[in-house]
Amino acid sequence: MSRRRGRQEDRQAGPALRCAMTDQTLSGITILDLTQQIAGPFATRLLAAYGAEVIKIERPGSGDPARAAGPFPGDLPQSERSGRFLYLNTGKQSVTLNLKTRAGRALLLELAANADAVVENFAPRVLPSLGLDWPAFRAVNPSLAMISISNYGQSGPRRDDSATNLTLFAAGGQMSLTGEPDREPLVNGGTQALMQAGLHGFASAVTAIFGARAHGAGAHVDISIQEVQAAAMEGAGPIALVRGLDSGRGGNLPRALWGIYPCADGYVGCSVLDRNVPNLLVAIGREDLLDDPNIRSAAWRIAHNDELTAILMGFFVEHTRQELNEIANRCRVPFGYMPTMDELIDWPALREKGFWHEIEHPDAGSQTYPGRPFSIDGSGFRLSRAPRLGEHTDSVLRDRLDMDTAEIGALRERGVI
Amino acid sequence: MTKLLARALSATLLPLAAIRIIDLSMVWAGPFATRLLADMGADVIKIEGPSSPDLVRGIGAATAAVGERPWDASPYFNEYNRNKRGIVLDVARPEGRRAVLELVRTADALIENYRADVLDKLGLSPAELHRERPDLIVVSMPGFSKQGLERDMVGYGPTIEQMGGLVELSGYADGGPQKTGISYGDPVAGILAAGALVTALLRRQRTGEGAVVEVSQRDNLIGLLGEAVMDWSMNRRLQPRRGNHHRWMAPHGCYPCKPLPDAEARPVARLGGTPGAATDRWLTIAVATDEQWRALCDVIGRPELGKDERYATALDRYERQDDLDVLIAEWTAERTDDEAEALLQSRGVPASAVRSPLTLTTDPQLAARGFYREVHHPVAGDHRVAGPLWNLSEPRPEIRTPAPGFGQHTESVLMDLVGMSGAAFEKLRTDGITCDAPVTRS
Repeated sequence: MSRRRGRQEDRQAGPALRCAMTDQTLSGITILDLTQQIAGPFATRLLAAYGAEVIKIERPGSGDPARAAGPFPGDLPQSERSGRFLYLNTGKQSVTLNLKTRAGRALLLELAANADAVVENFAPRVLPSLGLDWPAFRAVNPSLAMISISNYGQSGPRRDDSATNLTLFAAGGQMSLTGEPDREPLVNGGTQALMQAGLHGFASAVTAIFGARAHGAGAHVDISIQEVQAAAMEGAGPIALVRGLDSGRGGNLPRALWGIYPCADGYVGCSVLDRNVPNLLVAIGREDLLDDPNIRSAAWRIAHNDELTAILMGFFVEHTRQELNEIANRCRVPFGYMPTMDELIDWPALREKGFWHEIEHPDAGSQTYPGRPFSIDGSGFRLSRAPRLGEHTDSVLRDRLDMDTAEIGALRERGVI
Repeated sequence: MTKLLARALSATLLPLAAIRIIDLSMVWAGPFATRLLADMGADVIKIEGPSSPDLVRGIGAATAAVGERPWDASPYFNEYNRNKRGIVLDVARPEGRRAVLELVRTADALIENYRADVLDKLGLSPAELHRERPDLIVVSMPGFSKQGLERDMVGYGPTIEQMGGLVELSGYADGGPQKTGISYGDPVAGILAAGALVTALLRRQRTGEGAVVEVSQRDNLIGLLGEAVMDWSMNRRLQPRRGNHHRWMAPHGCYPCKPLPDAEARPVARLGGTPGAATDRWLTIAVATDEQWRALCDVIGRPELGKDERYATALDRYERQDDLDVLIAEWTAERTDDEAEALLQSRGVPASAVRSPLTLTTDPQLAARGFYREVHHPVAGDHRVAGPLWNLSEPRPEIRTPAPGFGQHTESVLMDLVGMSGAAFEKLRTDGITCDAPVTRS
């Protein structure tokens, strides 16, 4: 570890840059990033945003398949303009390396020898087939952490099954709870099965790195996308385990105070717990019920669910989304405005806190990116553009592996990089 | 030799062994964060108030099984609070606050998910906490923000997913925005908060500095929708609700399978009533490549469609996917979800049964991995919980202890960690600062 730090101090471009680097929360931490597509890159995107140096290894030629996934400006596919890739790879360095060559694998292990963590989300059979499994990484760096994110985990009868976000959302159980009770189960918007796993990849990576630094030994972390969902079904998971009872789809209105209602010009959420009932009554102009003991009783509210639904339905249809948002703020009651993406980007509080980042990219132009999900002492987060394919191959080999121009040129001729 | 010995010893230590976290959080988001950290070896001390037990202690226990301590029998509470210790202190009173501050002196981190202004009002602001323990990591997880325009806004998991843009993008193609099946804002905030806390610990490891960490649940949620943001930024396009269809993959959907026989119907929990029953079974299929499309056609006994020019490309299939959905649903309707899944997977077509909370408890994949773990709980009895999610190669994370009963560890924690005398503890008890059964607020 001390050797790596020494090397970095020597090799950082200049004093100004070094100063900027030490400002970052995860300064001095190096991630060897073997991820592609969504779940893995989301994990390493967060590591990069909080100051880790993330070296992304891409296949020569085509790179991360996310580069082909879009959305693209004007719907014109171009590997440096994929919205998915650009979003998920901000702040990383791109190194092309052909892991099917012996020299490529040797370079990867050399990079791993001086890294804090390897993060990967290949299908579980891929890295072992290349001789790049956990024992191989541990052999070159005993204090390394390795995070593997995969569909069903690194073991078990479904380990090698084919999957996408949709089928994994079904496999993990959350889909069975989503949608209307009398219709088919529904997948959430976006790619939530994969994004949940990405968050776990980030959190487990910092934890494993912390453990390795505290105790001196690294570890391999096996994250299953199915499992992370199966463990996050609110009360439904434990009630099945403890009482043998399933839960169905609650739909948009599982109970009167907890759901989504139509309003004058769209829809609004209402998520009221017992403690919010007085504020709700004020908000809907039913102060007359404030002293009614019935409405404070959960059992009474269940028994009179239809009645309460009718009262709220009548209130919401009389008001617009914007009016309801103002009432929510004024009365401190949890109504949920549902912004469209353009409304979200113009949302005053997000503008006020500088949430959105405008980032210039030489191929994709200036685009708007979501920003900081958590702050450390009010800051700690930075975003810079995603790399072009192989943009940092030369600099990483030169700075981290002491290679000269001739050696790098030879690797390129042999198709290793 | 020493090095080998050190490595052998360290292999028995979980990453967060020797890290102590004071946990003032409740319900799901915060407890989910500290569950992840407790599973990794942290000593999590959960604090509840005499008249403010964790709200989920009231959820989900069978009425026949609850006995004299129903608040200790909640499956919901016991799932998300295993591996933690539980104490009761009235932090709004000076003696309770003082006890918390003494515990903070022994701790590495404190996490809370109160409304934005509560910690300050309790006299437990980050500045006051740092006076006791300068290198403490203080983690707050407001729905929106602790300052600025949204500092007074209240919201729970569903509010977060609504205001973060997810619900607008979710739903049947012919319907309105759709709620997720869980309070989705909660677990995703919890995972991030766990990562944020350890990120600050990593910085402390390097610099010795404590930190004030603020996790904005809504801002985190927006980050889960990056592609939709990019589509707006690049093309000024609002993504439509597509049901189970996809931006370009087709066929891509959820299809009804042969129902369970009535005699094997799954019992289903119903709000405030007797359990119902369900027999529905569903299968999801996602075709990403032409090769998978041809394999699908073979499996459903329609190989000619695989050669049909009308369906040759993803775009062709996308445009005719409603017709394809009908064909596929006719095939799935004749088969169980597991049969159909196995046939498609044998040819490499992404497919999965829609597994439910109950069917997952016997899922062969989860069983083979030892996902569920047995717990013995003194009140709730023997039951299973979902296992640790960060499966370490060594040491294997375990469920070391069941979830704490209400106030179970108050005495031992105060005596062992802050050296409180038996007499002083008795005084806390007689003064109502602590107790071992929830007090009804008058």
